[in-house]
Amino acid sequence: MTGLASLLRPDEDTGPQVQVSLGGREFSVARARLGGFLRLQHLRSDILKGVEARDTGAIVRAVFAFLHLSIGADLETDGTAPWTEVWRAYQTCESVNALPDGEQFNILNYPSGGKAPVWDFPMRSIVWWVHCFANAYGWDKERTLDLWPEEAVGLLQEIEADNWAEHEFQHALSQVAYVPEGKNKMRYKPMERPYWMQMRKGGPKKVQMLRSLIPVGAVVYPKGAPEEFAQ
Amino acid sequence: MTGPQMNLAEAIEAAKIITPYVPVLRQKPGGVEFFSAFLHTLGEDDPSQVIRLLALMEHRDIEEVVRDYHGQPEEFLMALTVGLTANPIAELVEMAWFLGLSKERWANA
Repeated sequence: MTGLASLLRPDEDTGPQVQVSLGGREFSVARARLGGFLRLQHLRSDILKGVEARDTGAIVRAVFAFLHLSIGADLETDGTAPWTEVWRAYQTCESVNALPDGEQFNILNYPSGGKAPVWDFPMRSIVWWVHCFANAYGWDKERTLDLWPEEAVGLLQEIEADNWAEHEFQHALSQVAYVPEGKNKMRYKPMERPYWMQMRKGGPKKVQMLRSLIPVGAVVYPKGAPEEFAQ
Repeated sequence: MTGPQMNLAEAIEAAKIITPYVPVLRQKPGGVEFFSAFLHTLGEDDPSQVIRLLALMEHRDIEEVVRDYHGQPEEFLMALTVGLTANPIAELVEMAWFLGLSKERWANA
């Protein structure tokens, strides 16, 4: 599969190579496919955890691990390399591995939930992606992890939308989908769609409102909105 | 004249010292005003942070820096200038912003 153009960007070179200089050596960095991309995301979250804890050691370890994984070679650096060199290399690797056109995917822009399940573990996201594609298309691990990240997100969005359509169909066949209304009458009560399926690009429409009309007290967010789970 | 650069861990520690003062510092138009404001704001709040900053830029212990520059304010200022020339504050602030250590950034202020 390696070397295939992206499904979504066939006219573009989806595997750019950029040069990075570190510790007096030149490295060639290529954009990571889904497997590498998810591992890099995991390291990004390690950096964020280090930042939240203001733990310099944790940040440095995660930055070097990120560089090591992006470059794919032994860096042979003990952390004494000049910071501007490390910093520029990190920025370059970050930008080459950014998700292109990520804003076009509603499932990324309006994620539902926010709390990890109790069975969560480090790197679970990789297992989760492999499971989703194996379940939907019967693909093996190698095939899934060799996708370009934006292809994987696009396909995942379709899988989730299909699954939801199936759930809605099954729900419509069930008695619980109908609520009594009046005498001998039942009203169909559709399932509430996930937040990302409700929101159009651009987010909720903003309207002007008099300050006196704005409610006070706890804000009730739409069901499934990420803010609903914010601490 | 520029001195050797800090490593990443030292640079992050230096950024933690500098970033709270970014709103004051980036208003200064020239190098002299900037440096003067930097020493005043940082020195008034916690003078030990200026010494710590120099220790980070010279890869040395604070005690060593205090001992070596004791009674030599001109040499201390010169060393600080050399250190800040090799490790530009603007880049340190941008790094801190990119990593999420600070909400303030130097560019497009």
